[in-house]
Amino acid sequence: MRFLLIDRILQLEPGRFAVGVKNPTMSEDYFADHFPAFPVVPGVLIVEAMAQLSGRLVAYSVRAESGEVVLPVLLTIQQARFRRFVRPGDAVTIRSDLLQLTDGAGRCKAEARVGEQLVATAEVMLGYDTGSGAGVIPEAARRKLEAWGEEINRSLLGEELYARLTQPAVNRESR
Amino acid sequence: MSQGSTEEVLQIRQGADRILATRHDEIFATVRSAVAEVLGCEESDVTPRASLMADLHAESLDFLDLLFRLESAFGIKIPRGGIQKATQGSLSDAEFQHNGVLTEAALERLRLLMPEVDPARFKPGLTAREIPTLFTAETFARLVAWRLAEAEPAQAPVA
Repeated sequence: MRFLLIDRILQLEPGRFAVGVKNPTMSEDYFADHFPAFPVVPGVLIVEAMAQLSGRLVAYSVRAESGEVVLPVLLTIQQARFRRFVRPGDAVTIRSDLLQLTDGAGRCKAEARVGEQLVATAEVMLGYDTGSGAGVIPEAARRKLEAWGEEINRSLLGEELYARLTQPAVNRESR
Repeated sequence: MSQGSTEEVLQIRQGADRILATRHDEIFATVRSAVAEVLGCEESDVTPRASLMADLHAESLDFLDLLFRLESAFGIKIPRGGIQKATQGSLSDAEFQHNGVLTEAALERLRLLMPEVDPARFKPGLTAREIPTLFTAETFARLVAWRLAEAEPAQAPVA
């Protein structure tokens, strides 16, 4: 399986929040073992989906502030709670709110819902510079990652949102 | 060669001293409980002199987590690498370090900024990267006090 755990980003307001969706289907490989005859989306994958969405929220928040392109990586997971099973066919909506942003990391509070029902909540911290592990990515790999990230983000965000988020100095005046 | 004025460092020190004079115990108690939560240790292990890295096994990631918690708890903004930036101040890189080793001017400033640390630990040969090994819970109480002092004249609202 690939490891893209957000299908579409519906909203992303730099410095504030992001909303994305994931639609797990019965064709995911992991349902064969998690669990046989009773397929349930593993909680850790929901947290990973939260981290993937939050990482983009952090990245575009930094970009809106300074124009810098950064690659956030997961540093901590706190207060993770799995409240309800997520089953194949459920449409999961994930919302992440940016709580704090420093010049090295961002902290987000995320929740996952199926319809109105809250299924999971967690706080994730993502770092994006040296000293927190993210700075050790070799330069060549980093360039490749950035190009890959742009491509993925463009399809996740859709042309309109992508264009808004990547224009130079977006939102700098409006805050 | 200019060694930069120690005036700017003294200002930070005096700002922190002023806040700590009346609020030390309250600030330290909050810092101690945050450190204990971040490191998963007992509050009683977090003494004013215990080195967070050497004695309590903190890593840079833990410092990040701690800074976020202190920002929330006190409604302040702590710049990343705040201690090093404050120490370097207007010193140029060359005046601050040679190949990572802190200059005498840099050590002098650290002694002023971190009175909670045994002055003997600021010995020649100390590198910029080793600065975090000196941190104790008291260091973070001082950091909080410095930020509170900076915010105070402007009466910045607590978020």
